[in-house]
Amino acid sequence: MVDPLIATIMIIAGGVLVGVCVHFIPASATGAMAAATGIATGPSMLSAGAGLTGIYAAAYSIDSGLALVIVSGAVGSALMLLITILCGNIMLAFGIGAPPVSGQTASGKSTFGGTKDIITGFEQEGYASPGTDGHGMPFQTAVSGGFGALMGGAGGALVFYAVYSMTLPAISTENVVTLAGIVAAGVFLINSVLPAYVLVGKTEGMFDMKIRSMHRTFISCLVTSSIVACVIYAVCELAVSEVIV
Amino acid sequence: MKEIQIHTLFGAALLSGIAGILLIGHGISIGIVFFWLPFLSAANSVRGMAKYGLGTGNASIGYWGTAVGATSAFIASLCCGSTPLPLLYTATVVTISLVIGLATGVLADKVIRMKIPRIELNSAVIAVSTALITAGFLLIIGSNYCLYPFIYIIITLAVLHPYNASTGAGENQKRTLLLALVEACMTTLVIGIVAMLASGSAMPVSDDVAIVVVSVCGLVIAVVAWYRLVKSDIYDIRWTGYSPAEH
Repeated sequence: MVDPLIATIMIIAGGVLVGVCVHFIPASATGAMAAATGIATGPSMLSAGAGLTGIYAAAYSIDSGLALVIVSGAVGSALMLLITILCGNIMLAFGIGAPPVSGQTASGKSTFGGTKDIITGFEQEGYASPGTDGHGMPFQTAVSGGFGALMGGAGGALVFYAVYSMTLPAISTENVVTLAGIVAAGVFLINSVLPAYVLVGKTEGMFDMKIRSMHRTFISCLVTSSIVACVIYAVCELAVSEVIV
Repeated sequence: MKEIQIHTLFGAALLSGIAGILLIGHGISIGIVFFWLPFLSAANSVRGMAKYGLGTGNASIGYWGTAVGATSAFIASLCCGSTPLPLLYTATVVTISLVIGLATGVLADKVIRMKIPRIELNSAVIAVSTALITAGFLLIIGSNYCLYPFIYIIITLAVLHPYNASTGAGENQKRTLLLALVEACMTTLVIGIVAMLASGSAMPVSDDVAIVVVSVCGLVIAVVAWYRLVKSDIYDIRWTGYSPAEH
């Protein structure tokens, strides 16, 4: 277990990680029609899904110490996202014959410029169907998504472990896991929806120009998470002191 | 038709929610009907934010607002949930949710710069309304922590769905709010049934039965009113052979 003050800092750090991770996870609502690069849902909902998987995975290793909880959360979240990306690519490639291609890179508007996949060096230009902004999740986008999910899962696990540590003295062990899980999910949802305003429903991850607006997400999530963390700290301290008295 | 203003509906929902918590706190379970108005207020604010095309879906905004409200109520239940003073619990829940809801709204407006009119007000309204509902439901179900995720999800769905289902050409506040009332009654009905099952007694507790009965009555009335309004609104739309549009 960790000290309540350190746990408060962990909640803030976890909240910020959760907010920032949304910028790295490729998602687009129009991806459902193979009209844009990214997984076919809103970035916030996808990140929230990945984060909740992370919290679920973290809950299984709650007795194994902080490091394992964070790793478990991060890996669980990344696994969920990479499997989604893999299945999405299979559906798009073999279902409708659309190859995974980054729309931003194909049009030369990606963060690093050029029209090639930054990792594999595969040419993107010419593979995007006319009238679309790419389709599927090419390698660079999948790597960005995996990285984002690792961050999100670790953030969710941090919040989960922190709330677990703070509330454990006040209520019984079996109940504290549920409470910590739902509070961590709440913190995750609050922080993961805020960046949606910056991303406007679509992002290709770290190779999308929108990554440059990350500082706004960082500040917003830092302030929001700080308020939430302070409230959790104050309430838990009150609850624990009542139990001790 | 003139629309009900956000602050008018919220004022009524706040008073109604507090009355509901006080009644339930004093053992009068049918006070649950007072939570129908907070449901309407929250659904109205989801509509207020989502109709400007805010860059995220209705689902996200519903989950976001409810996350603030429900998390505030869950946290407050730790220190004040077992207090014999429901008013203290209510004050704590309202204060926490108002602060966090307002802060997220202001940040979305000033830092993220998504220029949605009255985003901070709508964000605070969703947070406080859902916090009041969550606090009331927690008083009914008691400190059964396994049901916390269920409470969160069931409230979120009833808050985010009315505008999502009514959106499109010809959407109006009256029909959206009536659908919100239908879903509010449905939610309290489910809570009544869950409270019956969770009580563990061989015979259903009369308080829980009262919740179910009053919710069923409300549900029937709300569904009939909503269905009539849907039929009346459909009458105004004429088939032209083109894509759906208002005529």
